[in-house]
Amino acid sequence: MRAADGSAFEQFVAARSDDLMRLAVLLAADRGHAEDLVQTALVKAYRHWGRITADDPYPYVRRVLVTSAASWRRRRVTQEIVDLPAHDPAGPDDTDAVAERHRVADALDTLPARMRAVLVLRYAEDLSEAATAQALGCSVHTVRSQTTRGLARLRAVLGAERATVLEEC
Amino acid sequence: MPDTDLEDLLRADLRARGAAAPPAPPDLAARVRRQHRHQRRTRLLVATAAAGVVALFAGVATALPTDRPAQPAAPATTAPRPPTYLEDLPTRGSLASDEAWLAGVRELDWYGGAASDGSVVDDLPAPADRRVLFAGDTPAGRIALLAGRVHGRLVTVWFTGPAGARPAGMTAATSPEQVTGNQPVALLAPTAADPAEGTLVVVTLPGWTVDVQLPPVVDAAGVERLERRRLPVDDGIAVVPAPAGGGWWPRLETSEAGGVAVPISLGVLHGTGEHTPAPTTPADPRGIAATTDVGWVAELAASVLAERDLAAEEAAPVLLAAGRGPGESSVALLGVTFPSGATGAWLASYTVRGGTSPVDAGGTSLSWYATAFAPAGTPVDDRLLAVPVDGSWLVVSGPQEAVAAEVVDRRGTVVGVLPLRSGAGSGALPEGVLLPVEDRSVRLLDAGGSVVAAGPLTPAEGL
Repeated sequence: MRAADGSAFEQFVAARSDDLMRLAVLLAADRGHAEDLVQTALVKAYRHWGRITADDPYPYVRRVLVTSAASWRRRRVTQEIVDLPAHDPAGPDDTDAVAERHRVADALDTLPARMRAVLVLRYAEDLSEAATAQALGCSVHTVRSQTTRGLARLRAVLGAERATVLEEC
Repeated sequence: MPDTDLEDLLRADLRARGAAAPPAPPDLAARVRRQHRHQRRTRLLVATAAAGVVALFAGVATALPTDRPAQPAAPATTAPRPPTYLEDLPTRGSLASDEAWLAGVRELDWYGGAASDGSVVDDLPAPADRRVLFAGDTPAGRIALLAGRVHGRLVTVWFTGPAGARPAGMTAATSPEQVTGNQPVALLAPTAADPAEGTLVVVTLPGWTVDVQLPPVVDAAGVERLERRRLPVDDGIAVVPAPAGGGWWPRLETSEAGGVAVPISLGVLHGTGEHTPAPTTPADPRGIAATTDVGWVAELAASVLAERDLAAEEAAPVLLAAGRGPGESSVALLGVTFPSGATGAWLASYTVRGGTSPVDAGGTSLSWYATAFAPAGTPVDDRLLAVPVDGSWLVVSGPQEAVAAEVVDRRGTVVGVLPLRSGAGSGALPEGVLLPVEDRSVRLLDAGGSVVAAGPLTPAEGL
């Protein structure tokens, strides 16, 4: 890597690492793995830094991060299970908001990695369908169907106790 | 829950958690450079070591069950310790004893074929360090699961090929993935004879159970049930038929007897699980399809069916009502009949911002309602569905002979009337007519003024 590339990399990390960290937390769901994920994505990007031709490397690095997340998630799920006690006694959360957030986080965790990534990019990063497709290397149609199906699955998990909204008379 | 509420909830949750994310470590760039240097050195060492291992074992039969150093033989009186990790086990599957084939498949390129989703592990084990955890002929053709350790982490990849394929005919079907050593892994692959059907292969430790979460089923009483099924497992391997339609992914769990259930990492063969269900054009007995975007409704119907792994002929989707909604929105009410005879209905509203239809629009706001299930007995297009939207808009579906829907208050006074066409309608009512909803009911009248259906009005929360 040339010195100029190294300097640009330093500047990029200084400017965008918090954005990457925020995205990684949503994909990996905990700090430790999020840091690992960001670092892994940056190492991969660093290898090819001199060949990134776009003015803004962020979309490239974001793509590496998002597509790396799937394998990280697998490891995290199992490690959490290993680390947790066998029985997690149920108890009410302190507040409804916390409980709701836990429910959403748990529901997101049930989604396949790419479906989760689509929802994170669409609703946290506010990417358009086209930009999401570009970030994931798939078609706009896939993004659309993954969004629809992801929401449907979240609804199924979150809305189980929320009553039917239409009613037979 | 309507999609607007769900989207708001999701957006708020993601943003809140994102905002609470810790800052990146201040020395992140330095860490990255250190790790990059370390990986570069390690790759050189691995390449050198792999060459040495190949030379050392050249000419030795590859029947050892693991790559680990040989252990002293255990006393005959000691029971063998159950293996803790998948990689501790010898190859399982119908090809487990075909040493030449296993040796060939260990040499394959892990990035060949369909590793296009970018979920990659850059550093891979050398062929000599790879283990074949499973190799066998299945209804989806030849399947092999390979594993190896990189920097101490176990990496797995699935290979597939046609029945009878030689090793060279096998290609990487998934990207290499890091897993922990005892984490069961599974693959959903399309069956060779019928790609609409799938084959699920689960590789776990012997003695562990495997449960699959089935697609939701609505029984004859109109109750949606989520059921699990315990899969037949032989020596820690399950090879079973599974839907490959792409609308749902089986959620798998495995557990040791008396232990904690562990979610199984499911690899979905590229192009299988992400298969987009073909749009399903619902029947239009009322001739109202022209009042909505048919392509969008067809996608909606396909999604509804795919979530339940139902074919169109099994659920007979029908367009119950369609037309304008509040503001710039449009609405569509979709009905299905489940195999049990129970029925379900979905109300969706959408607003197109840019483009000419929801399908090609740059921005489409979609509100999608949970279904209204009803017991078997009443055809879905005879059910009375009267859904207030935004407090001043009503969407109605009922018997085809109905020509008007009267909104009645608690005292029996008619407070609003919505004209229907072939038993369906969507339109505005004067402000306040639909409120309070618990005090309102609806009755449908035929052309002669006779009541053909009646019942309470139930609010659709969120609209």
